[in-house]
Amino acid sequence: MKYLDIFNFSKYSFDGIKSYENVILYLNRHWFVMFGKFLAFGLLLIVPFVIYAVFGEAIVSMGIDNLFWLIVSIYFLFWWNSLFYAITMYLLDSWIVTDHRIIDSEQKGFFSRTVSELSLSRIQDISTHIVGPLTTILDFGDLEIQTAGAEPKFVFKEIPGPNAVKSKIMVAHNEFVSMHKGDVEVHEGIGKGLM
Amino acid sequence: MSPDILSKIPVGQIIVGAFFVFYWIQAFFIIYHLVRFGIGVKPKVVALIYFVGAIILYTLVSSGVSQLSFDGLAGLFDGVVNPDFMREVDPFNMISK
Repeated sequence: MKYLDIFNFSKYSFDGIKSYENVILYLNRHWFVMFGKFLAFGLLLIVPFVIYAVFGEAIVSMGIDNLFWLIVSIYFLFWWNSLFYAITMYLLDSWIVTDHRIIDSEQKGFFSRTVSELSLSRIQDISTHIVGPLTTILDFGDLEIQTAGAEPKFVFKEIPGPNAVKSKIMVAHNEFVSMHKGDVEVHEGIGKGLM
Repeated sequence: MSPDILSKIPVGQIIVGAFFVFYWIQAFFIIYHLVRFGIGVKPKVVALIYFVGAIILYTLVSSGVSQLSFDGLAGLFDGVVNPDFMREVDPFNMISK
């Protein structure tokens, strides 16, 4: 039953995690971002039933009700795939904060994936943007990390509780800087020394 | 190619078959991405739910397709398409005989 381990493996393991690294935060966009899409998919789900309610008699009188329900079931196949495509894109668009680095993983379709990484030592400034009444009530928004140098900003888009996340990243940054004087990776140094 | 050979090609079945192949390729990509790139347990559980749902829907649709007569379907379009019209028109010169 080794293959079933994927359902109970450590909560936040990911490709390329280092043995000495601990995940502090794993973030996806706020659930409300998906809410609108779920609403649209919910409406699309009832469309065939509405069509049948309106044109049902005509469909039956033409003797094509079997064909109609076949087309509806094919429509549901597409609906099911589209729904899970949206969920897949939502789940794979994520941000990970570890006690050593920040990883931004953006999925823009099946074959377009961008993964960027930033060491905690390179953080210069963090700002949050919560704009609008709904985002204020539900407490979600953008978080921008300004890095040292001319690198582009790291943006966490529509994440829940951006201010709390900002505080946690600042604490992690301070701890990292105090433990890694001169930006030297102490863990890798110990590993190399033992070898 | 003679018209007899063309008429023997099961166009309906080929279209339905191509559709199912396309569907399962898409299903594979969704499951692959969720299991391969998903972090934590949630994407794996979502992949399982999707897979079970996809199999149930596929079974429903394929049983529906197997009960459907493609020959019978042609009769539905008798009033829409007049096959005699095609015979009376020269496809190259488009001059009605």
